[in-house]
Amino acid sequence: MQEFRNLSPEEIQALELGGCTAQTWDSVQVSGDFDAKRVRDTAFFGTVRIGSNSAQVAIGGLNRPCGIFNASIADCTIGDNVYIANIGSVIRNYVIEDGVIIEDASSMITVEDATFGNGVPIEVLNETGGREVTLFNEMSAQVAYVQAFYRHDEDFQKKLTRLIDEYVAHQRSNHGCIAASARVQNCGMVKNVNIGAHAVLQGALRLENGTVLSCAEHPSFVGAGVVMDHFILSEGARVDSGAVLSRAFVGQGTQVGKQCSVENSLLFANSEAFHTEICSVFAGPYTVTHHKSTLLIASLWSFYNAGSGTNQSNHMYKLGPVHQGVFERGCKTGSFAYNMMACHIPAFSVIIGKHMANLDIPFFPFSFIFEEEGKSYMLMGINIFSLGTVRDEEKWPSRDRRKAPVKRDQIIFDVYSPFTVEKMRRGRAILQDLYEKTPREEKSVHYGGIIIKRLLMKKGIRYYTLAINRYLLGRFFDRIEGQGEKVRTWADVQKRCGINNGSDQSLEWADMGGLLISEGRIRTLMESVRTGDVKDISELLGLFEEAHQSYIEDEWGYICCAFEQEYGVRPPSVEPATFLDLVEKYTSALHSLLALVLENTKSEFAQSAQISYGMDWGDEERSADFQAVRGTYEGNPVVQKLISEKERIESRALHLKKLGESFS
Amino acid sequence: MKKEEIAERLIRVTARELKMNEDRIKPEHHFAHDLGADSLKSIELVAAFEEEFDLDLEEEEALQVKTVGGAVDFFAELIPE
Repeated sequence: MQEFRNLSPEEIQALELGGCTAQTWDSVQVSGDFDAKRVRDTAFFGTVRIGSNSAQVAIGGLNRPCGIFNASIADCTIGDNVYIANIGSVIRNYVIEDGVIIEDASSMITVEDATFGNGVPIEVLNETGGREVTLFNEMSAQVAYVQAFYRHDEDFQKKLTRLIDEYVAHQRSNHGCIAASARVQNCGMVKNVNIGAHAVLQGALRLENGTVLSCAEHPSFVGAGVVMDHFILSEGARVDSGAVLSRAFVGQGTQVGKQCSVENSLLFANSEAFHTEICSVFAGPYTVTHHKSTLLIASLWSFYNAGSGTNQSNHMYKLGPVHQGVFERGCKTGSFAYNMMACHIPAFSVIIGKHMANLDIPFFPFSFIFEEEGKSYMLMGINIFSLGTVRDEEKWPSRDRRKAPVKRDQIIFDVYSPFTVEKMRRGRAILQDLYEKTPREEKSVHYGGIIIKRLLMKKGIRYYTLAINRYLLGRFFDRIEGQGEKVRTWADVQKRCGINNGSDQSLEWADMGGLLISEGRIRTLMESVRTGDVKDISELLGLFEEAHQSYIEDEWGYICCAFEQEYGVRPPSVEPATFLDLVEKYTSALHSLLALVLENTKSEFAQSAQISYGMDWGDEERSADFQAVRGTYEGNPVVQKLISEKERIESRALHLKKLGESFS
Repeated sequence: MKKEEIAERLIRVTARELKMNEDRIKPEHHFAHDLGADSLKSIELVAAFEEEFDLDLEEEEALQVKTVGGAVDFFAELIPE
């Protein structure tokens, strides 16, 4: 703790000569090497402590002396080498840490019992309430998810609320904090806002009741024209260019800007929201919306990309805006895609057109949902071989912007996981049942608000089967091949396929705000909260982290159960002869899916893709122009990678066959 | 099955699925460029052909067939005369 002393008579005289005043100089204390000449035209109120001010700070490329110039300071503690200049009204009730710069700010005030955005209820999904998520600094997508969605368990909610309330109580203070090396420049009113280390606030209009978490590794930024109230920004967040946020959480590495308005919404890690209107939304990690006239309302999204004009209705003019939509991870909406709430859209699906029916189709991931003559149709599983899905799997991890030492949202990026694969298994069973029951003369059936063409049911079944085989068998062979020393005996193979103690074997999984987690683990976690084993928020966050770390083993537990249902044997009991059959099945699935992806990719280079190329010229120039801009099918790096994948499949198949034969 | 019968049935199915008159469909017609079968319609067509000829096709191979005449040849190879 820094030691402060009273001002000497000479220092008081110097301050007064510099145009400074104080209610009483006795209440102004300074550090040992305080330089009174570096404080000018400043009025002090209440108790003020000022640290050393001997250094210089660089502002706009110019070095300036640290100190306080043309300001009113009330009841503040100011650290070493702080620069404060041109405060329109007052800085009141703040702890200002070392190296902070505050310049051209109208006012920064903390009033009694401020919680800095902590404790604010955010009404997600249902605009009229019922799924409130209470904001707190260390909130993760997972804590928010269980707050919002596990409302069926009153006891759990009660205990969870208690943990959060205790955390919020600890944030309550009469003093705000502007942490070390933060910069506040050209800002309007700032009231009850904590500002984290190295944060940069430049040109914000009004900030009220919030926290800007920030750190040296990943400073947060609040830019020009921003208005925010009742908010928490996480490390590395960037809110800029006229964004308006009210009752909002902005996750780590998330960007909001270009006049985007966010109300009663949560935007978790690495999301991007520009231009859009966002209202009562739970935007899980990687929710991306860039366009004007897009409205996201009363819904859950993650790993999502919004087309312009995307829209939903949650108000049926009966009981108010009470309807909600769940769009599982990886969805994409085409321009002007519209969904009537309530709806439940399957993972990795593409939505095109206007859907006036209440779609309830969670068990058909990777689907294409489209409109034909005002009716909703679905082509099941087609995105399994879309190039977009292949790219998705690679792009998300590479676009993780988070640099803070603690990554709060636990994220499993896998496209194919127990979550999506079990959905496909359920979907396939539904399709098989529908196909058997639908007479040949029927062209289509209605299911979950959507029309499924009878002929396409078999396609869906085939696509899902291929993807299920690729996933389950792929992971099985990975397990055998991928750990430590080579297997020498069949017993080694079987040992590797065993399930570790403590791993879960649930077939049902959830996507808990980006964390793929088994039902068994969720139940255990909730029980720990209910019984009071979880003592505080950090312990709760620890459980989610543990679930993240256990993913691979829990996934294996799932695979063992699903594997048995698919192939009639659990992995540890597979015999060499069956092993060889499974290699065949696996290789065949890989080849088929790869061929479908490649075929699908060809359309990107087909004649139909060359429309509008070769402006003012003939067919020859059109092709040449297309090639010059887009390249060729054969020369495309993604295609090349896919083609080389073919060789990899062959070589792996050969290796696996040899392995199986060596034990036969 | 004779090639003529395959052609006749294939054109009938194509016309039904693409909602057009049979007499407008010619062997040289490209499913996408001339008949308007986009990638989704192509999948439906393959499914319809499968049902018509009672076959389970390797779709990735079937989708490589681009013209009506090519499809007739493709099925003629699969269905014994």
